[in-house]
Amino acid sequence: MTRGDDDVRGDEWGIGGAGEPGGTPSGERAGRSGGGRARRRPYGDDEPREPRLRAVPGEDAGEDPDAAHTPHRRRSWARQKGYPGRAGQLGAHAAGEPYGDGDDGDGDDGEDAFAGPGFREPVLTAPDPAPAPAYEDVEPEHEAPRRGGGGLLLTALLAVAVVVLAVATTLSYLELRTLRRSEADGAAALTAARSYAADMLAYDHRHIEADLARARGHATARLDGYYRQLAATLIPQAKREQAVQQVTVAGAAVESATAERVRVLMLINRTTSKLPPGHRSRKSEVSQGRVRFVMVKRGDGAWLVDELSTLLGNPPART
Amino acid sequence: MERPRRRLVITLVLAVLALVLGGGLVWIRMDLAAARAAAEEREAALRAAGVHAVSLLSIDHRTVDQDLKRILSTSTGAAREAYAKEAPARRKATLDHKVTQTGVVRSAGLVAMNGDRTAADVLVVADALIRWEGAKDAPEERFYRWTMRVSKVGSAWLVEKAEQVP
Repeated sequence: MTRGDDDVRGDEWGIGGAGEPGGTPSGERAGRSGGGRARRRPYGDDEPREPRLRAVPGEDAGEDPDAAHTPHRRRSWARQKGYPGRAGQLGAHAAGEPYGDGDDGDGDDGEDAFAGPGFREPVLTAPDPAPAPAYEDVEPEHEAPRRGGGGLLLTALLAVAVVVLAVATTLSYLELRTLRRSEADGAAALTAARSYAADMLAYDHRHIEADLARARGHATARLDGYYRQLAATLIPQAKREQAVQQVTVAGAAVESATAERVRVLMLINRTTSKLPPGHRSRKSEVSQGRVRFVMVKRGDGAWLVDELSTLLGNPPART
Repeated sequence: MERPRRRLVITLVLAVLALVLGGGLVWIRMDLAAARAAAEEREAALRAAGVHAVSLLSIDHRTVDQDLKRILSTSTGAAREAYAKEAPARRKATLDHKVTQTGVVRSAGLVAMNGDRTAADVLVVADALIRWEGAKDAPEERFYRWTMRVSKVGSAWLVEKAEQVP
């Protein structure tokens, strides 16, 4: 934060009040802060409200250098914040001061209470004559610093609110995006799995190499290894039996969809026709199967099959 | 002169930001609540279909009345009516042959859910093992594929239609 010379007092109060009450005040400030400290003392240093209260007098002092600063400050503070109770509290506290007249049940009375010469004395008898020029400097913009001082609190609160809101909004947005994505991914993977089913599971002995190559085109590296193994046994067997397997999808559904990994359940009907060696006519067989494709999304957004299982688990426990 | 004005500007900017963020947060939280609810409903619908499938496949001649009641309590509408109608025959067959049948769900998946999240189409894959007490035959394993329509009745998801997929 940079400060202009003209409003240094207001800032010093504000900043000192906010963060460093023990800051090094210049001579002029020493006088006033001395007065301020005397008035504050009963609150104790750990009173959280105090810095805010302390923040104000410097600014009001600028507004009304000849009168007692405190009552003005209090009153304006109380009005500004809409905290009459706080003003009353201050008044009560002031009543305990040696120079207070015990009045100040409300903020307005405080003016009289603190107008006594005894009270003003610590301020006006400050050894350093510097205050006067400082007041003059501040005078032309006395409205602004007061607003700024109250504004400082408002600004700080707003800043905190903005940070909290930004964090909450970001977290909520990320969760929403994840949920939306998993839903969208589920639908996309379902479509992809359905369209890959025949490629992955059907073959014809006349062009089985090409069929398996097509299947491997939809497979991740992991599943690709499985297909390579399968080729070693399936190709000779299919050729020997002149096998043709066709696959239709009777139903497809999303089992679960998490971030870029979707389990798709498919009900498939396989029609396998074979002409085993020594047979004169082809045998055809239809089987109803269930398969699970675990789909993963590639970097470019294309879906690949990472796992393929036939969902034939152990038979249910016998009772 | 500079600073207070700058602070005022900063305050105003922060206020506008806070308002925008607050509005955005409310908006996002509403969407988030809907998305979470949808995800929960999808899971609940799948669970309901799975539970119903197990109920359909698990029947024991020793607990047949309970088992048949469970089928009814996990279904609604047309399916429930059909089960209620079949129940006496099924009860008799189970008792006559001293059947013990155990079902297990292999998988359930969501085909689609309607916008109101009150109905969903689900595929269920399950197996059953059937034993006949006293019979010499080995237990028989059967495979099932269903398409089920589940609908939300009150706060519960119940199966309204269950058809085997040929």
